[in-house]
Order: sequence, then C-alpha cells, then structure tokens
Amino acid sequence: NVGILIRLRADSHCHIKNEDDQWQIKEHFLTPLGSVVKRLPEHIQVDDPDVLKKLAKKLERQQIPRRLDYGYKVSLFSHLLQYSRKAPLTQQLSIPSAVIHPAIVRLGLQYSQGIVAGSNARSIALLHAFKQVISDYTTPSNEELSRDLVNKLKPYISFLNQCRPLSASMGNAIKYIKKEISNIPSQFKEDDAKKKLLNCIECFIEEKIVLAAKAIAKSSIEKINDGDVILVYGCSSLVNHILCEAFEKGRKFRVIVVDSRPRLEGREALRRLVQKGISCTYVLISAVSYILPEVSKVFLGAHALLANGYVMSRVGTSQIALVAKAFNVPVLVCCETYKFCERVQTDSFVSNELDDPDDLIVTRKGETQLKDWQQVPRLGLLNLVYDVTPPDFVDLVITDLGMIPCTSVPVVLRVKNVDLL
Amino acid sequence: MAAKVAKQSRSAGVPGRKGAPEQEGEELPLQAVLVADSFNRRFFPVTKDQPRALLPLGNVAMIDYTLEFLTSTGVQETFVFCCWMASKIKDHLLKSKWCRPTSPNTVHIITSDLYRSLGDVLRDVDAKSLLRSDFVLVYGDVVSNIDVSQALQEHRHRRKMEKNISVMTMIFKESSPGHRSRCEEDDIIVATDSRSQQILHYQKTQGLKKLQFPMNIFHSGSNEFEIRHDLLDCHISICSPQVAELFTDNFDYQTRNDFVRGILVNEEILGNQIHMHVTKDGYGARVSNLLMYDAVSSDLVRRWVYPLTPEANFTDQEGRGCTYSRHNVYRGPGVTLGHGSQMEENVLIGSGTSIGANCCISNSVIGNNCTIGDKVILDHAYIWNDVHISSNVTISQTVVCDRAEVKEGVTLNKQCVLAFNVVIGPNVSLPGGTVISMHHPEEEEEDDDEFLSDDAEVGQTKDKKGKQKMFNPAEVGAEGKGYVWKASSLDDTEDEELTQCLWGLVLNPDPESDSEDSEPEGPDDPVIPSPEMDDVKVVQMEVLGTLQRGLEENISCDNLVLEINSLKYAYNVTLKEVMQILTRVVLEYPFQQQGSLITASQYVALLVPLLKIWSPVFKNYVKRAQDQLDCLSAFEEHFLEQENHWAAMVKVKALTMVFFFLLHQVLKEMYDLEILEEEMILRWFSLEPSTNQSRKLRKNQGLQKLIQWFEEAEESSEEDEE
Repeated sequence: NVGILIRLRADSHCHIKNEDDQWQIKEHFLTPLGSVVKRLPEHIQVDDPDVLKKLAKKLERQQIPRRLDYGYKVSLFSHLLQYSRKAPLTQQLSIPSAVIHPAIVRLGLQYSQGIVAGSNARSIALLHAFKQVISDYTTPSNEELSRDLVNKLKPYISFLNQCRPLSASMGNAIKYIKKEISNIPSQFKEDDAKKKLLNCIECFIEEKIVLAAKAIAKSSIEKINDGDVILVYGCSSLVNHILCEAFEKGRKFRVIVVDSRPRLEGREALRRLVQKGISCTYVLISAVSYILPEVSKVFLGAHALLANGYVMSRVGTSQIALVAKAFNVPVLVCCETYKFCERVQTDSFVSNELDDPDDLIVTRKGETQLKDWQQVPRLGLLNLVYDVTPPDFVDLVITDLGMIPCTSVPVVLRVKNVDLL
Repeated sequence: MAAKVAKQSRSAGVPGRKGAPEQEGEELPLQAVLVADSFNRRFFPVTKDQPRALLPLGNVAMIDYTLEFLTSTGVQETFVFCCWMASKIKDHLLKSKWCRPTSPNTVHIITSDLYRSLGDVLRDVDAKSLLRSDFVLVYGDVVSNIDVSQALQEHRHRRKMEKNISVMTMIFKESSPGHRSRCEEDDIIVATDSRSQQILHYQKTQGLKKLQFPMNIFHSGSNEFEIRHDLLDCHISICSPQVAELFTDNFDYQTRNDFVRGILVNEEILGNQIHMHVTKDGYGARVSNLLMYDAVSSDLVRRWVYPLTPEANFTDQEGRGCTYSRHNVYRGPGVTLGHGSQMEENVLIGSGTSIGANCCISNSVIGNNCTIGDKVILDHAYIWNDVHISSNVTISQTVVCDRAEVKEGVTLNKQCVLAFNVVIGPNVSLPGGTVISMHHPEEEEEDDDEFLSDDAEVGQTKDKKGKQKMFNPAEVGAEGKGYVWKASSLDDTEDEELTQCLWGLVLNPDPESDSEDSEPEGPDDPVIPSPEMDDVKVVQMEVLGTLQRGLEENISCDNLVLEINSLKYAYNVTLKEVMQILTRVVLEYPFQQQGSLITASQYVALLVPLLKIWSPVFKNYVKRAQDQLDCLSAFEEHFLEQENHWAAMVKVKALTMVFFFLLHQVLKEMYDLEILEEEMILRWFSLEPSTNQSRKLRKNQGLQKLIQWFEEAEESSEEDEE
C-alpha cells in the first residue's frame, strides 16, 4: 500500500528514491537489516545496454515509438539522454495515433520544442492536458475506472518523458493525480468520478501553484525594502510575480536581470518587468561579478528543492549564488512546496538533462560558428539544463509555508506526506 | 599616414575643380556636403545667439559629431555650407581638429547669406561644380555612427549596372514605431521594391491614421514590394552629382522632401530612381527639435553612438577628456562634488564644474565651468557652459543655455528653456513649457530681415535694449532678467503652440503648418507649395494662378469659369471640392499678395473688391442650397485654419478676436452681393457646430449680431408680405 510505504520511508529518514516507472512509487523492499536496495532510474544509465534493452521492451509494450538519441555526447555525460530538437518524437507517430490522446501529443511537441518551458508552466500544461484526457475517457466494460485510468495514463507519461525528461514538479503532480484516481471507490459512477477528478486537478492548480505564488509574494515583499537592487537570473515566473507585486505595493527598487546563452530567457523576464514599469538592467552572466557590488539581494527561482537542501535550478544559478556568497549578498530562493522532491543529489553530473547541442550554434552577421561541429572529432558540445546549488550558498528559502532554511526541506516533505494520507 | 591621405585628397581636389567627371574606374576621394543650417526657426530663441550646428550635445558641438561621422565613414573632402551666423561656425571649424593639416578630411567652408534652403545650397554646388562623384549629403545636426561604406558600394554598383538611373540612396535605420529616437514630425512610411530596394513611395505620416498610396506603386515592374513603417530617416543620403543638377533644373525644389517627391512622381518621365539602404545596427538621428535633443543626448550618454562616446574626446580638445564610471557617469577634469551629492545614472559633467552638497543628479548633462549649489535636484537637465545654479533648485527636462543664472529656490518644470544670459529667481516656479530669453518677442516683428543679416542684427538688438520694457518680476523673479518668449498676452493655446515649436510636441497635427516647418518663413517670399502633394493642392495652385491671371489681364469671369471647370475634369475633383478650393483661394488671396503680416482692416479692404470682381464666378458655382452650405462651411474651415496657422507664427496679437470680426464682415460682403441667401446663412448657423473652436466662433458677438439682424430682416419681410 502506497501510503504506508511513504510513511515508512519518511519515518526512517531514508531519502533514496526507488522508482520503477519513473515517478511512480512501487513496492520496495526493506531488507531485514533495514538497508535499501538501490535502483537507479533508467534515464540516467543510458550507457548501459541492458537498461536500454529493457526500456525498448517497455516502450514496445506501451506501443510508443522510441526517440532516437542525438549522439555526440561529452563523455562525462554519456549516461544521459540527448535529443535533437529537429527530430521530435511526434514525427514517428502514425496519425491518427490510436494510443496517445491528441492533447498529450500536442503537449509532447510543445515540451520538446521548448514552447512550454519552465517548471510551473510545464506542470500547469500537463494538468490541463490530463483534464482533457480524463473528460474524454470512458471506462471499458468489465473494467474499473481507478485501475484502468492509471494504466491508460502510463504510456502517456512515458511518451512525455521521451519528449523531454519530466521535471520534479511534474512528477509530484502526476503522483498526486494517480493517488486521487486510485482513491476513487469502485462504486462511484463514472460521471461522478470524472467530475471529482477534474475538480481535484483544478484544486491542485489553484492551491499548489496560484495561491502558493500569492503566499510567497506576500512574505517575500517583506524582504524587499525601498532602494534595494535585486538581482534575478533567467525567467522565473514566481520571481517575476513577486517583483511585480512588490512594485504594485509601491516598493522602490531596481532589478538587474542576469541572462545566459543559449536560451536567453532573461529577455522575457526583462520584457515583463519593463512592461510593468520597473527599472531594469540587463547583463549576461559573465558580468555577474562586475555587477554584484551594487546588488543588495539575489532572488532565485528553483526547478526543485532536493531533500538534502540542494536547490536544483537553471544552469548558472549555482554560479550566481557562489559569487553572491563571495560578495556577502543574501541569496533568497523562492519555491512552491509542490516542487519539493525526495531525491538527493550533490552534484549536477549524475542526474541532469542534456538539451539540444545545436542550440549553442550562433549566427552572427551571416557567419555561423560551430557549423559542422559534429565533423570535428575532438569537439563535444555540452548544453546542460540544470545545476544544483549547495545549501551553504542559500540564505533562505521562501515557500508557501513561510520562510525556511534549506535544511528544513525534509521536514516539509514529511509534513506534506502526512497531508497526503 | 593621415597627413598623406589628406595631401592626396587635396592634390586630387585641385584639378578636379573644373567639374568634368574623371575617368571611370579611378577611385575618387569621397566627398560630402554638410549643410550647417536648418533653414528654420525651430530652436528660436536659442539659435538667435548661436547657430544650431554649434549647440552643445554632450558638451560637444553638434557639427563635430557630423564631421566625425563623415570622417570615420571615409569621407576625404567635406564642403560645409553655412548661412545663419556663418562666421561663428567658421571660427569654430578653423579652431577644430578638422582644419589641422593632419586631418584626413579636408573641410572647405562656404558661406553665403543667400541660402534659404537646401535647394539653394545644392544649386550653388552645381553652379560652382564642386563635386565630381557621388557624395554624402547630411545636415549639421545629424549624430550617427552608421558605416555607410556598404550603402556606398551598393549605390556605386547600381550606378554602374544601370547607367545613372539611381540618383540617390537614402539611409534608414530600422526602429520600431514609438521609439524614442524616432522624431514624431519625421515619422515616415516608405514603399519599396523588395528586390531592388528602390523607393516607390515616400510619405510623412504626420500623425495620420489613414494613409493613401498611389496605385502605380502596386503595378510597378517587380511583383514584390514592401510598405514599411519601422524605418527611421537618418537624414543621411548618398547622392550622385546629378542631384545637384536636378535641383538646378527644378528651381522649386526647396527641401530634400521636395526632391524625393519630385523624383518619385516624375520617375516615368525622367527615369530617375531613388533607392534605400536599411541598417539594423548603428545609430543615426537628426536633432530636429528639443525633444530629439533630449533623446539623442541620453542615447549618447548611454553609449548607443559608440564609438562616439563622451569620454572618447574625439574632437581632440585639450582638457576635455573625462573619466567613465559605472552607471554611465562621466566626469571631466577638475570636477568637485560636495558631500552627500549623488550622481545616480547617465550623468555627464564637464571640466571645471563644481557641485555642492546633497545634490541628486540623474540623466543630465552639465557643461564646463558651471557652479551648482547645495540640495539641487536635476533630472533630464541639459546645462550648458558657465551656468550658475544656486541652492535648493529643482530642474527637470530643461535646457539651460550658456551663462544663465538660476537663483535660490527656483523650480523649473518640464520642457522649460532658459536661453543665453538669462537670470531667474529667486523663489519662482516656472510652469512647464516656459521659454525665457533675453530677446523680447516683439523684437522679431520689428526686424523682418534678420534672416538675412546676422552680425548686423546683433548690433541692432543691442540698440533696442534701451527702449524695451522692464523685465516682469512675476515671470522671472525679483532679480530675474529675461522675457518670456512669446507674449504673455496670448492665450494658453498659444503657449502650447510654442512648445510645439521648440520641443517638437505635435499637439494638434496640422499638415499645413507641418509642411511649412521645413521651409523658410521669410515674410516676402510667397509660400511655395511643394510639388505634387495631392490633386486638391495642385488644383488650388492652378485656381490661384487662373484668378491671378484673370485679374492682371482682365479676363472675363466666364472664361475663368471655363478654366476652372477644365481643371475640375483634368484632376477629377468633385464640385464640392472645387468650391472649397475656390473659397480658400479667394480668402487667401490678400495674403498671397501682401504677405501674411497685414492687419485685419487691410485684409478686408483688399478682399471686398476682389469678391466684387469674382462674384460671377461664385454665382456660377454656388447655386443650390447645399452649395451655399458647403461654401459657408468652407469659409468657416478656412478661418479656423487660418487662426491656427497665424497663431503658430505669432505675428499679430489677439488674432482670434480679429478673425471673428473678419468672418462676419466677409459673410456680410457675400450677403450683400446676393451670392448667399440669408436663409442659408441662418441654416448654417443653426447647424450643430462640429468642433470646439467653431462653437467658440459661433458665440462671437459680431456674428450673433449679424444673425440677429438677418432674423429680424426676415421677420419684417414676412410681415410685409402679410
């Protein structure tokens, strides 16, 4: 039984995650001595042919095409998947796809092309797609909704996972939906069950994302004083929301938007902030040590908060936190609790995501550098997506539960798991 | 190396003076024509003391930016044409690095008092045959870092491919509508052939929401064309020597706009074409009003014009170098800053300036040798040289010219201008848009010919100072010196007009007054309308000509009607338009003859006999009731427009009242001649007034008296019938 297991795990303070179907918690075995059999998730051992074979078999069972790896990986990261944006998975689908709901196909394409990016946006898009799936769902005769629907969602999830590895926030959302589905009593009528599920999803979006952002903004504004110079990195929807709220509350501050190639998401953040009328400065990450002496606070968004207090976020974040620490500038991380994750990571190598290396190619004044980089045998391009920031560099985490230090993440996780029951 | 280049260019320059184009393929030194005069009065009263090209922008005279731009783009010989205050410009240039023997760009200064427009300059260029090959044409107030060499190459290539068809390449910069460096008056829309970059249509939008394009651009040779509104006219053009010849051939071309329009319209006949070159990076803007001055200054301080930055000291003047630090703060040598003073961002402070304690300065440029007291707040302030500012002064978006003095406790609100030597204060607050000058506004009226004389004029004003009135302490403060530019007796709307002149805010876009901005406003040359604006304008010109001839040669009215009718068919205008044109022409006729400075009574005296002579013409067109109404509304429109137009020029005080008076006099004339029936006048009067001003017009006493008289007359006639 899932719930008991979670409690067991939380009680024993064991953080090692055990997954089969990537985010689904399955039975795991406590040996009589209490040590846990550790199984690595398959998406971080792509270099192992056995694992690959197993994955292929699973996909075949679920009738989902397998997305081809781009190749040309930097050797240290050969255990990770690397896809090309030019070859999306949807190209290999037969149309109309019998297995996959069109809303999921569209979502998968949006993920893999980077049209929907950012962990909040991705989660919300996912939940809306699932709403569509659930409302279009009919239980086959001689099946039970709570079992059949979960099984139906499984291939969807592995499809999405191939389009782009799932984020921690999406994993939590999926976990929540699955729990809600399995909680539906078998005597429920199909319509009522669907209505209840749709309602649950709405609730999740409203409570965990929208209201959480409001709560975080409320407590963060206390930390923004008049005359502050706030440094932000990339485009975090939550940090943008906080800054806009603070500006509307009449706080007088200046924002420095730090950006990095290849995505240049900071431009979007800049556009949104300037549109509100906030005075902004835009620099690239290479200038961060130049600009930091005038900064009074650093606000960072997060992709996930890990159980050991590490902050997983867009690559570059840990560098900014490090420089800010060196300049004695407080670093505040804003993160909703639904992005808290039970994983433990101490480096950015073992589990990460590799983005399309072709994104690093630039064309300037009609000249393309790195045009035929695949032909150069000693050249590898690395386009990492995330990095982890150690808790030493983070002074405060602002969550919807209030302001906590990084090290309190396990406590929050435990409280949350109790709630789930 | 540089000296060598200069020598070469000079040795090449001397024999080429004969004007004969040299052998093709031989690389001629690139030449440029720099027009160091704007030929308008937008910067009055500031430009009364210093020509626009010498006004400091970031503590460097504007003409230096233009010359640096030309030099860096590879120009080796520049002809600078000066008119207004030519001697000052000449002095400046002779002292500058451009006239040193090492200068890679040889500068020739040509001065004449007779230039009235760009057209005159280019006609003179042609007469003296100064140019041998393609040249760059710029104004003396263009700030740019665009590299035109690519455009030049394209231009030369085009000229080689198709013999002398392309005469001009205009340089545009891509910039989205509403961008700060886009001058609202210069807002343009361009239609081009996308393949050949040939300009098919060029039009100023003038704040219009609806634009009309001639049909022929749609069926020109290529089947791909673009209509672009994201372009900024940098006022830099690469011209072939033909351009000067074309200006000579068409003596009515005054501005570049006239030229472009003329070429585009006559493309099929003359076979000349204009092309464009669009640059994405680079900066180019013309300082055409104070708003643009503000925009270009802040762009300069924010380093958009790199490498032309304030600390670069490209003019190579001694003691002008400055240091550049974080947040675009530039400090010249010998700058002292009091305790607690803050320079927030985008501040440039010239050498020898001292600033007191607890000041707050942002987005400002301060010149050399200024003194600024304690607790002064400056935002978007442009303070030139040798200015004294006392304590507790607040200045925002204001230009303070050389040697002005601001006493304690003064507040200068947005868009003020303190011209040279003015003293303000203590403890006054100038409302936004105030312009203070040592020149009395009426002075201008007295010496009409000042446009011709410059040095003599300065002497004249000095003489006059004695008899002028005292300074008004309510305006400039107890110890103040200076007059509010533009008489205070005028009503508020005219103050706004003033800001329109100087700061370039287009408050009520009036195509008529705008098109005249670029033209000399000399009182004795009649306003020459630019060719081919639209059919209505052309017809108006023709009608004017016809009537004039009719008057001079005593042609009978029937023949006049015939001629006007033929015009109507030739240009395909409606009867209503013909009538409007006719009314307008007749009403403007006295101005055309006597200049625009006649008084109301003179005007009426001139108009009445004219109306009598031409009454048969009117009778021919004004027949039905609707015609009469149209005629009346044309009258009304004309007077309202005229009112605007005059206010902009501000020649006569209290014009408004005069014109109301005029209107009813003229109406009465028409009535007496029985062109208009009284019923129609009454009906027109009772029509719903469309605009605020026309409502005001109808409230006019004189008019109401007239109407009353009509009504009574009607009643009495009805009584008689009974």
